[in-house]
Amino acid sequence: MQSHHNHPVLTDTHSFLTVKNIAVNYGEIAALQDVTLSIPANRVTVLIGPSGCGKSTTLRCLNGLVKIDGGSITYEDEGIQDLSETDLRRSMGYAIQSVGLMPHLSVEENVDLVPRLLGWPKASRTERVEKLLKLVRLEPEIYSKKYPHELSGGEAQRIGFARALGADPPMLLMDEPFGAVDPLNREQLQDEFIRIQRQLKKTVVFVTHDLDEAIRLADYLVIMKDGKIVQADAPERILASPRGEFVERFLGPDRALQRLTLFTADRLMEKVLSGVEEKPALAPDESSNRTYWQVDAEGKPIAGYAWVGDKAIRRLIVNGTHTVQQYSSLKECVSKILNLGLPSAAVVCEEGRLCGEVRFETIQQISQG
Amino acid sequence: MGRCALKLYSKSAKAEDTNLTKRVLLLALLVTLLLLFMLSEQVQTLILSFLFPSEGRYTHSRKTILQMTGEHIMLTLLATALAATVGVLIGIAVTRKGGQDFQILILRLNAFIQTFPPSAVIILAYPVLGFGWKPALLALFLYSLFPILGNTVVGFQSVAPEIKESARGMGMTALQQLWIAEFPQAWPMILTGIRHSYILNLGTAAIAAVIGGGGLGTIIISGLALRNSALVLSGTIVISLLAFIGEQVFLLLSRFTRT
Repeated sequence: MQSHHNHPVLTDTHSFLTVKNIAVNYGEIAALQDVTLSIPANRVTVLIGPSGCGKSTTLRCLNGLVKIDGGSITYEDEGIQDLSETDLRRSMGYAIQSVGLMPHLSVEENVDLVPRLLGWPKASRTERVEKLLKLVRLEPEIYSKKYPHELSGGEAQRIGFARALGADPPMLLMDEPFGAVDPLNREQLQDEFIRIQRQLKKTVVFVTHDLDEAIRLADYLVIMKDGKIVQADAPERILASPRGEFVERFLGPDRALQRLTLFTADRLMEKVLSGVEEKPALAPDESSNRTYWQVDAEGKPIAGYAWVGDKAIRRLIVNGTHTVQQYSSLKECVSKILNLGLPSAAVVCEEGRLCGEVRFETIQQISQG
Repeated sequence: MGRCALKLYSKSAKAEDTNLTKRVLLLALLVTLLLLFMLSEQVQTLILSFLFPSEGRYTHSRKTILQMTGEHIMLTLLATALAATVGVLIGIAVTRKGGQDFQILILRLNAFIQTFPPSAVIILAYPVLGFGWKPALLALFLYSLFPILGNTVVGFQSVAPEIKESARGMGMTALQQLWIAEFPQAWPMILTGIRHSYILNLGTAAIAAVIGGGGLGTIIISGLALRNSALVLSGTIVISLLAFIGEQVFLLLSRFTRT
C-alpha cells in the first residue's frame, strides 16, 4: 500500500476505498483541495477539524452526495463515478446528526428501509430489524411500533445507527452522529458504538468536531484545515508527535490527559477484592494501593474501602455515577478516582455487577508511555 | 412544524374513536337528509311551502332535483379530479431539483388564473368549446387549480431537509425519495387543497346552467328569472348538503390515509 503526501497509513489492514487528490469547489470557494486518503478497512477513520475545514464535504464525496471537481475516488478498484449512485449508497450505511428518521414511518419501518430498497424477503427483514434493535439495546417489543416523535434524542440516534446498519453494509459513513445529544448521553452512545464496532468490525468514516470523541473512537485520525489534510495517522502517534503548530494548538495543552481517552477501561482492568461484608477480613495492604469493594447480594458495588496514607476511608458508591463501564475511557476512570478519593475506579458490566477495577497506579504507568 | 403537527394528532386512541363514531353518524345523518329531499317531491314541497307559502310552484318544470344533483356532482367531481391530477403533478415538478427554477413563475401564473371570474372563462371559451358542460368544466378546472397546486408546493416544501438528505444518502432513487420519503408527509396538505377545491367547485358549478351545462344552477337560475325564492332555496339546500357531506368525507379520508 502506498502512502500519499507523507500521511502514514495503518499497516495492519488494507484499504478498499481510496481518495486521490480530490478537489471540490463551491462556486469560487475551494471547499477541498488536493485531499488524498486511504480509508483503512475494518477500522474507524475519524475526520476532525474546525468548522468549514471540509470534513463533512469529504465524507459526502465518498457516497456521491457531493460531486468532486477533480481527482478520483476508488471503491473496490472502481471509480465511484462509474458505479451506480444508488448501489454505492446502499453499500454504505449513512447516519447524520439530525438523524432524519421518516416521521410517518414506525421505528421498525425506518430500520427496514434499506433492506426494503434492496428487495430482501420479508421474513429475513423482520428478523434483521429485531436483531438490530437488540444490538443498539432498544427492546424490539417496546420500540418497533413507536414513531420517531415518541423517541428521546438518544433513542433516535440509536435508531439512526441501527438504520445505517440495516442491510449490513461493509461501510458506515457517520456525520457528527452524536453531535446533537447531551454530554452524558453522548458518552453512552460512544460506549455503545465502541462495543458494536468491536463486534462488527465495519469500515467506518466518522466526522466530528469533538476532540475527545475523535481520540476515543479513531483508529485512524485525520485532522483537516481549510479544505486540506494537515495530519493523518493513528491517534496515539499524532498525540505523541503533532505535525506543526496548528495540530499542536488543535490538540490543546492537555495532551497527556487526551492520551487517556485513547484507552478503554477493559484494557487495564484488574481483578478486585470484594465481599458482602462492610470491611475486608484482611485490611488492604497500605502499599498495594488497592480498594476493597463491598457488594450486595447481586454483586453490585455498594461501597469502597481503602487505606490512603495511614487513614482508612470508606466511600458509598452510587452505581453509574461513581462507576465506569468496560468501554469507558481512562479519562473517565481518573475522573471517578479523583471524585471519590479511592485508589481505583470500579468497573461494572452487565446489569451493574462489579467485574473489575482500574487502579490509578496502572494509569500513571501507561500515561508515561 | 411536522413534528408539532404530529404531536397534535397523537391524542388518545379512545378520544379518536369517539370522534370517528361522531363523524360517521353525522355523515349518515347528512346523507339521509339529502336523500329525503332529493328523492321526494312531496318533501321538497312540504319544506318549501312552509317557508314560502305564497309561491306558485316548488319544483322545476322540466328536470327533477335528482337529475340536476347528478349533473352537478359529476361536473364538480370531474373538475376537482382534473385539477387534483394536474395540480399535484405540477406541484411535484416545481419542487424537484430541475423544476425549482420555475416554481415562482408557476405560482404567480396560478394566482393570476385564480383572478379570472369563472363566468368570464365560460363566455370566452364558448366560441371554442361551444354550448354545454365543456366550457363549465374548463372554468371550474382553472378556478380550482389554485388551492391544490399551492398546497402541494407548500406540502413538499415542509418536508425537513434532513429527511431528504437521509433518503438520498441511504440510496433511494429520485422516485423512491418522492414516494417513500416526501409524498406521505406532503399528503395531508395536498388533501386539504383538494377539499378546498371541491367546496369551491360545488358552489361555482351552479354557473354551468348559464351555458346549458345542467346541474343545480338550472333550478337556481329559473328561480331567479321567475323571482321564485323557493326554487332558489331548493337548489341551494342541496348544494349546502353536498358541501357538508363532502367535508365529512374528506375528513374521514384524511383520518384513514394518515400515516
